[in-house]
Amino acid sequence: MIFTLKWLLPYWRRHAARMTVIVVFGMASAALQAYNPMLIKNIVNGLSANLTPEYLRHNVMLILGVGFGLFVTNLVAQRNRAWMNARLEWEIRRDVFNHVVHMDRNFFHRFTTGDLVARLSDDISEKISWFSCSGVFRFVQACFTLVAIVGMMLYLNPVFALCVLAPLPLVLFLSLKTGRLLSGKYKDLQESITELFDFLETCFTGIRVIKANAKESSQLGFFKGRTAAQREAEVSTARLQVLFSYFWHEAGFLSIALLYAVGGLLVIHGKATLGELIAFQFYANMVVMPLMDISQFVVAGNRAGVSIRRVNDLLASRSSLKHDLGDMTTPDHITSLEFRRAGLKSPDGQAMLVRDITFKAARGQRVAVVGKIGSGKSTLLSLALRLSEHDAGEMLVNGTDIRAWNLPLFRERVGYTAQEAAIFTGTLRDNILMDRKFGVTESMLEKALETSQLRQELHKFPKGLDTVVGTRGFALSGGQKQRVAIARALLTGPDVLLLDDATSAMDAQTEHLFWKAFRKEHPDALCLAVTHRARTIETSDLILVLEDGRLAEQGTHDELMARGGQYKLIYERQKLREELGDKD
Amino acid sequence: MHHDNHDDGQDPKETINYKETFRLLSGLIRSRKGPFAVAFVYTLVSTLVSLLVPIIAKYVIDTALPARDTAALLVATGAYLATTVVFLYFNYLQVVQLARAGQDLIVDLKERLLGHMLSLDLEFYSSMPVGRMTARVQSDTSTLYALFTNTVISIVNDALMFAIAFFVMAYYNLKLTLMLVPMFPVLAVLGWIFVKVTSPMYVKVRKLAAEVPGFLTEQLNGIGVLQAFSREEDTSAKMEDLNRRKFTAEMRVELLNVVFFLSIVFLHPATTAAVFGIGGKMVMSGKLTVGVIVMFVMYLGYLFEPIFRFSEHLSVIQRSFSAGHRISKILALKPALTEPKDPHFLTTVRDSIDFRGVWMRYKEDSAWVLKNVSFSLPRGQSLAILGETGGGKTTVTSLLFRFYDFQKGHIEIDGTDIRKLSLGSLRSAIGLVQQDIYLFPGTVMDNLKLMDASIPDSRVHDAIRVMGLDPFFKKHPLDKKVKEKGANLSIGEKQVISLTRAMVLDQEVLVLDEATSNMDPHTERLITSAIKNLLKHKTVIIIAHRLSTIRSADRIMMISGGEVKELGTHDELLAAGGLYSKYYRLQYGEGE
Repeated sequence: MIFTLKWLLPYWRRHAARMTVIVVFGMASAALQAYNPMLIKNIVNGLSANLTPEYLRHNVMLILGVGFGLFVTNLVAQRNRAWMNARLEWEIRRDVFNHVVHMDRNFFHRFTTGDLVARLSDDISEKISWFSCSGVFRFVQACFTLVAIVGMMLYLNPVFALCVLAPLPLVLFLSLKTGRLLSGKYKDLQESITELFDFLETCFTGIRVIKANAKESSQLGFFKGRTAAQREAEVSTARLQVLFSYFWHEAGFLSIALLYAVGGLLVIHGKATLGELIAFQFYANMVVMPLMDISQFVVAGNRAGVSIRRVNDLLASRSSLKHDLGDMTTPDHITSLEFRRAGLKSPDGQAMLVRDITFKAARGQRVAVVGKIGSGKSTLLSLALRLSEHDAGEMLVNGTDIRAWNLPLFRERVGYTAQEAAIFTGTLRDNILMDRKFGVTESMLEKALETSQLRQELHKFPKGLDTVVGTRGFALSGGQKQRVAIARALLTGPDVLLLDDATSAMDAQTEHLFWKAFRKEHPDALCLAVTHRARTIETSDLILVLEDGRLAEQGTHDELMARGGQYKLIYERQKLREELGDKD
Repeated sequence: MHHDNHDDGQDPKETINYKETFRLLSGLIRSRKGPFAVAFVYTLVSTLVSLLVPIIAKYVIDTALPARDTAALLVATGAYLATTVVFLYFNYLQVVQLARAGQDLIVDLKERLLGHMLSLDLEFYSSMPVGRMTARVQSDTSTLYALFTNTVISIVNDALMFAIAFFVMAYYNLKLTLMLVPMFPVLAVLGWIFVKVTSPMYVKVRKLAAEVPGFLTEQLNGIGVLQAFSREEDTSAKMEDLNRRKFTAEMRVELLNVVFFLSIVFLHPATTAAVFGIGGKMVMSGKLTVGVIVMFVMYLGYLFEPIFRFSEHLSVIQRSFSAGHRISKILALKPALTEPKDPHFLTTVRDSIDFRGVWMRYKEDSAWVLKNVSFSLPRGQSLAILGETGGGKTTVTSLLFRFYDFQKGHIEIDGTDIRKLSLGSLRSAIGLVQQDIYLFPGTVMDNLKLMDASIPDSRVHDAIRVMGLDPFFKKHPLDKKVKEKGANLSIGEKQVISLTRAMVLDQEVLVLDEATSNMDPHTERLITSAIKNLLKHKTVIIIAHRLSTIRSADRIMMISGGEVKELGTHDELLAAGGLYSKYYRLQYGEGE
């Protein structure tokens, strides 16, 4: 809990004025609330004695006034708490997201997309947001209220106060006990629900097997057994829930019974007034509410604490990219890329993902990277783009340490397509331009469309370049996605092009046309391409064969075929596969 | 978490069929008339009793205290305790009774719904994502549960309470009561307007809330590309924009919310002040007692509570109608493939399965998926089907189960057209084994029986012995609980279970869809020997991937583009030097 509050403290500090308002108005609300029964006491006592119209009007106005005061103070406190909840959700998500987008590739291996999305949305929105202000400051206000009520009661009549407070320890004790029982029941219930969801998912995904074996009725029979289990869990949870609710909402009745008996006797004997008795009846009903907020603070706080730790894990991660080697960026084109025994550790640092990679590529060359799944091809490309920072050997660009290049300027000269062609919600044009507005002309866009072979596809899109694509837009085929990715990479005429299996979903003819157009438009570009297609491999200037993260062989097609090693096997199998038309 | 499935799969513009949905909902209530009536009686008692409390307070103030009557005071206190206990008791009974009745009703509905879904054709299953189907059975029904247990009864309860409280108040002082009455209908109307105004705003908030994970998924999946093009700042700006829009939408609806609710909260002291102000004057002129005023103030407390619940009730009713609409839409679907008239009943396959010149397409205007497919599979033999993805392998086996009907040609079992066979008996006689499976939450034994409790345990033990898998099931005992769809078992282990299941279900003919997952050599050996065992004991059609499986089959059929390209034994096809021999070389080679 201390960690949680400490973690939230800087966020509160940023909004010091608003937080002060929340606390001050919370205190005012607590005071008014505690004062309210006192007015009822005055009126009732007045009614029982000699009442003047002025006295009545005065007190009625006071009730109205206090009621209105409560309205205003609560409005200000609640509104600002809600504002802070939403605002902190925004700020926390912004801080974490901005941190995450600058992380290196290792980070994204360690945290999958699903995991990151869960932490950035569910954890922040559902668990942290409410607690970050409401959870904490409702608790603070509840403490004020409790103190104010108890203080007022003691001031008005200590004996009555004792009557109201006496049953509370018992109520608290019992409510904690049932609360614990209840959370056990919730767990059982959740489990029975999870089982049903699992069952249904299994049943629906395996529907072919069930229908093929004509086992529909036994499935239904089994389902009946499980729903019966959920029914039991639901009923016994409801049972305990109602008992639990009694402790919070109805427990005042013990205090009130005590008040009637003890207080009534005191009134009869003239030791207390009727007004006091009735005022305390109100206090008895009021005193439980703050206790509810207090217990909620503990429950929600523990949950928020878990989420805050999960979010903090992300913020505590550091990118391995180095920025302190001085800036030796030159305005020249990139003309050579050299790896010297370069390597990269796995995220846990235990093994090497790739190691001892040595090769040199010059402008105008195409380097094909081949190898099995998991042999390190994508890792090699991500080193060249500095999505990961190599931690063994050397990497040189134009003979200069790659780390001494200004990262955005370096990446501006490199085009890249990822293995999974990333398409973002937006128009086709947006997806190619990627917000690069400066120095991009319409003719550059035309050229990129032409080279990437996207031009001839455009008529298939309802609104051409202005068609909205992505998760909620027009669905692109795999080949179309890849062409968009290539057009995006070629747009600014990069010196280096890194293609990670960028043509796998294209047919052989389209791919051939692409390479032809590419060489014509970008004769000087250095291209590093992970590819499977035999024709692309054999016509490359240099072929790198990766095996288990190491460079097993390198050379031209003829050299490697003559060697009769790993490459020859891969190549011949690929040829055969293409003949069979097998894409797996 | 998949439990909070907000994917209701509904076109927002789609209008709800209120009549049909109401029929479903009222039919459900009628099916449990008795239990609901009992719950109603409990509600009546608890409400009546709870309304006695202010009267007791009045008695204490007006009678016991002024008379300085200690005995009366203690009796009143006792009465107060007694009514409260009776109220709590009956309220408890009511909640439990409703939970029981509501659960019974929902359980019935769930079973009816699942039973109906299971009777539908495979087309239904391909038309709807699995998450949406589970949401229909679990989430929508639990919305209805909230309607039946909470909303309906509490509306009845609140109406009752209003009526009785006003009656009692009017009995004691008509004038003061009449001044309070008009406020409540006005409040109800205001509540209704509030729901009308805010519910589209809430829809917007929920939509924006759902946009956040969508946006994050898209951006983080493409993070490599974003970084490659130095788009980090742009992405952050987009995130910022989404955050701002969500914040703004939330704040707008939150403002209305807080003002509305606090206004109602403020009405409480306002009416209290009115009661004291007006009632106080009556007291001065001797027309009213202090006790009645206190009683009125206490009743007001009772009457304000339902107003807070009112808007929530409205939204539950709204959601229930959407849920009910979705459920009745599924219940209205009818399967296309049903039992034929005067069917032949198949117990087992005695001679052979024959495909003769079978043509098939899924829709009238789409391309042929199978073109002139013919083959014959004698009992006890095995046939391996090979071919590219989408080439028609699975369609061949689907036709055998009559998941779909074909357009031309004949499919016969022991010389009888399968369209004349009873669907149930056909599918019982032929088994399907799929290897990429989830396991059911239950024991390994349950899973081996495919949840069919009528299969005796001894058959499971026999099957395991025949398959030679005793050591495997020593390691994974039959009473082992499967967790999270089989997450506590490896892919290979799940496949072993699925293969053993085929033997347990004990059908003469099996269709086996072999999986191509990578796994450790030990499990791989276990599986290949299990498949060999099945091939030895059964008549098998196998969609094969492993070379060892293909080699053990009696005959091999190459399918490509919906046509049978080659059919024969391994040696025959290899000698022919066609497609299969190439495929064989590809599989046989080392490497990728």
